[in-house]
Amino acid sequence: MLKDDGSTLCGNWLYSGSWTEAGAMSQRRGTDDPSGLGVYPNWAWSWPANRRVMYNRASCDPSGKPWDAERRQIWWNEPAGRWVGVDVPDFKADSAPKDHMGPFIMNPEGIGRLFGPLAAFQDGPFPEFYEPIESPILNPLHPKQSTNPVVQKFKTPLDKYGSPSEGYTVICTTYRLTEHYHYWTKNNPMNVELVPEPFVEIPVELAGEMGLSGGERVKVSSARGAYIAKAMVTRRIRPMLIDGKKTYQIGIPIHWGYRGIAEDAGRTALTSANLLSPTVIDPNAYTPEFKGFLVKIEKA
Amino acid sequence: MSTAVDRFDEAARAKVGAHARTTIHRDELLRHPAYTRVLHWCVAACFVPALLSGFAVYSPCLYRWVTPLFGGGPMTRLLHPWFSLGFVVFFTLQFLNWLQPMSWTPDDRRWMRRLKQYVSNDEPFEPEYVDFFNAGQKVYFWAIVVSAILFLASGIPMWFPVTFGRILVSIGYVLHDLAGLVMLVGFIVHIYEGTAAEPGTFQSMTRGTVEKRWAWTHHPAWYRRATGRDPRADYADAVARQARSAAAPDQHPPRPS
Amino acid sequence: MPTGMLQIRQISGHVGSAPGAGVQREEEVCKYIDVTTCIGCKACEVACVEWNDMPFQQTTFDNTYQTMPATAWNYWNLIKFNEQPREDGTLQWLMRKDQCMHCEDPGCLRACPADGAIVQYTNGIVDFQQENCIGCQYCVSGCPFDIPKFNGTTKKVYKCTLCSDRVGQGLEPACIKSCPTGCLKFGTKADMRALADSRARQLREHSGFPNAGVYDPPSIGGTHVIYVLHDVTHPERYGGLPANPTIPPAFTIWKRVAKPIALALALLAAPVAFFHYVMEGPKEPQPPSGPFSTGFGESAPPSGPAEREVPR
Repeated sequence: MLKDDGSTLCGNWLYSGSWTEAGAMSQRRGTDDPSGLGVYPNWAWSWPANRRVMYNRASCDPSGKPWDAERRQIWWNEPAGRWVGVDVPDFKADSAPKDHMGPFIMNPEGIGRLFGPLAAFQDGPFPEFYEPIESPILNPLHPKQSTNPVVQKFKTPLDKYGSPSEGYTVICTTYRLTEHYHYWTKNNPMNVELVPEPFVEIPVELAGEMGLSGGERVKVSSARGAYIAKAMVTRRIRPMLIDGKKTYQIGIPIHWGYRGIAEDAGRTALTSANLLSPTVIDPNAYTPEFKGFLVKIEKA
Repeated sequence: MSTAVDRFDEAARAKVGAHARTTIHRDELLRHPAYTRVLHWCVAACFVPALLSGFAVYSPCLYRWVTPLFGGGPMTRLLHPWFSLGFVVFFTLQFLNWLQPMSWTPDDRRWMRRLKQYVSNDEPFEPEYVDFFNAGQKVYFWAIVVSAILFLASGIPMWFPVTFGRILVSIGYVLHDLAGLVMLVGFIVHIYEGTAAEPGTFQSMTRGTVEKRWAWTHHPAWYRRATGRDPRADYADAVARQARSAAAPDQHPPRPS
Repeated sequence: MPTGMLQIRQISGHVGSAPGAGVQREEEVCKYIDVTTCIGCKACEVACVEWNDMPFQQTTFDNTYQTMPATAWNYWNLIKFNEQPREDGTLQWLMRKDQCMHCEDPGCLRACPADGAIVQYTNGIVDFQQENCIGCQYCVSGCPFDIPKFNGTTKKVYKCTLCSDRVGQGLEPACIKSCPTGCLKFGTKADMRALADSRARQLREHSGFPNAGVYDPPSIGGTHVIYVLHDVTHPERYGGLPANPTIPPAFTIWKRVAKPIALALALLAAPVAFFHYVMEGPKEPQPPSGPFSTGFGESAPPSGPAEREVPR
C-alpha cells in the first residue's frame, strides 16, 4: 500500500495496488467464482482495492443478512465484527449494521436515489438528454430546448459557438493516448520517441473527399480558434448517419500545445487542442465540453 | 574504342614513360613499356590483398588464419572493398592499355584446339601465328574482365545490403564466390606460367625486356612484326652460332657468370 | 553478451564444435505472444529500451500508431499496427509484437562468416556477440524476418537478445515482465507450445475465429518466439510476417556444401602446377643456353655492354 512516509513510490495513484510484492495483479487469471454470480475476484485487478461490485453492502438487509441467500456477495460476520464475503466490501469494514451506516457511501443520506433532490443537480431531479452546445442536429426529444439550459457559459470574446450553417459540419472529439499523459510527457524522451508529433485522426472517406493523404498537414478550425497538425488517415473512425445525413467525426489527441524537450522542438502544435473545444461547463460535474463540438477542416 | 580513349592511353603512356628508363641489352627486345609494367604491378598490389581479404571471409576454415593478416575481422571487411575498388580502377586502365593486343582472332581459336599439346610441352616452338599474347593469355585477360564485372555487380549490393535487399545480396554472394574461385585458379596458373613454366618471362614485367630467342620461341608473329625478321631463320642462325662457339671455345671469351 | 549460465550450441563462422553441442541439460525456452489479446500499449517496447539502456532516437509521424517503420539498431522490439478490413466491411486493428524470432535454424547464424559473432545457446536463444562482428551485414540478408539492424557508426549489427542476460539468471525477459494483459508469456518451448495450441483451439471453438492458429514455422525448424494469431492462414496481414520463412540457399547448400569443395578444387591448381613443372619441365627459350643457363626465371645473364636505353 502507498505510504506517506517516503518509503513507497508510485507513478500515478490510479495504478497504486496494480503491482504488489506478489507481482502484476492485472496479469492474474484466476477463474474461481465462489459466489457463482460471475464475479471473479482473482481475475486481473480492479482499482483501487480489487472491489468488484460497488455499493455491495446494499446486497444485504439492514441487519447485515444477504437479501437473497442464493446470491451472496458480502455479509456481516458478528463474531469477527467485520463485513466478509466473496468481494471486497465497499463499506467501512467494521461498521456494524446496528450503526445504520448507509450502503451508498457517496451520498450524504447513505441510500440510493430514485430521483435527485433539488439541491443535488442543477438541471432537474431526473437525468435528461441534451445535445452539446455545438451539434449538427437539434435535440430529437425536444428541439425547442436542444441544449442544457443551466450549462455554465463564459462571456469572453473567445466564447463563441459555431453552427453547421456557418460551415462547421464536422464533429470533433478530443482524447488521450496510451503513450502520453496530459502535457508533461512531452518532456520525457521515451514518450516522445513513441509518439513524437501531434496529429488529427480523420476517416478515410473524408480524407478521400479532401484529396488528403496521411502525414499531410491539416487545419482544424472551430468558432474559437484553429489547430494545425498532421493528418492520420484511418479506417477506425467511420462516418455516421445522423438525421439522414452523412456526418464525419475527427479526433484530436490533446497532449501538445506547450514546448517540450529538444526532441520535439519545432514539430509540435503550439496551440492546445482545447482552444478548439468550447468552454461550456457541465453544471454538476464542472467538466467542459471537450468531447463533442463542431469544426471545419481543410488542408494547411 | 573511341579515339578519345586512345588519346588518353597514349598520353598516359607518355607521361609515365617520361619518368622511366628501360634498358634493352644485346639480343633483347622491348616487351612491356614502363606504363604497362607500372599498371600491372598496381593491379597486382590491389588484386592480391583483395583476393586474400575476400577469401578470409569465404569460409570459416580460412577465417581465423587469414583475417589476422589484415588486423582482424572488422578491418578485413573494411579493407576488402577498397582494395577491390583500386583493382577495378587500375584494371580498367590496363584494359584500355591492352584492349588491342588482347582481341580475339581466328588464330586464337586455332591455338585453343592445340591446348593439350601446349600443356604437355610436346613442341618447343609455338606456332608461327602466335602474336604478342597467345590465346591462353587472352583467355585469362577476358576471364579477369568478366570476373571484375561480376565482382563489381555483386560486390556493390553486398557493400550496401539495406539499399539493395536480401535477394540481390544472396545472388551476389554466390556470383562473387564463383568469380573469386575462377580468379584464384587463374592467379595460380598465371604465377606459374609467368615464372617457372616459362623462363625469361618474369623479367618482361620487371625490366620490360625479353631475349630475342624467348620472343621467337613463344611469340613468333610478334617477333616478326617487332623486328621485321623471320623467327625461324633467326633461330637457325642462333643454333649455328652456338654450335660454332662450342666447337671453338677460345675464339669467344667465356660469359661472365 | 553471454552469461556464464548459458551453454553455446552453435557458433557462426566457426571450425570445430561448440562447447555445448550435443548436450541438452537445460530446457529450451520460448516467448509466447497472443496477438489476439495485445492492446498495443507498448509497455514491452519501453521495457526493452529501458532494460537494454538504448539511446533514444528521433522518430517521425508516419500515419500510424506504430512507433517506427521497422526495428532499429537501438529499438529491438516494435508493435506493428495494421488496419485490416474484413470481407463483411468490419475492421480489425491488428497489433503484433515484432522482434527476433530466435529461429531453431537461424538464417543470421548460417550467413555469418565471422567466428563467434552469432551464437545459439542450448536453450534456443540466438545472440549477437558484437565484439566478434565484422559488420558485413550478411545476417541482414540471411534473416527471413528482416530483424538484424546495422549501426553505421559502430559498424555492428544488433537485435533482440531474448534478454539472454536475464534468462541466464533465471528471470523472464523484460518485455514479458512488463505486459499488463498477460498476452506475453515465457517458459519452456513445450509448455508455451501447448498453451498456444489450447488458446488457438479456444479461439476456433468459442470465439468465432475459424482460422486461428499458432505461428511456429517448421520451414526454419520452428522458432523460440511463437504467435497465436486470429488468422494463421494470412500471417502477412500482421505487419508482413512471412508465411513460409526460409533461408536463402546461398547461405545453406552453397555455403556449407559447395564452397568448401570448390575451394579445395581451386587450390588443387597449386600442386597440379608444381607437379606439372616436375614432370614436364619448363618451356625454355630456343635454343636452350649452354652450361651457364640458370634454367629458372631469368634466362642467360645479359651479354656484353648494354645495347641501348629507351625512355619508355
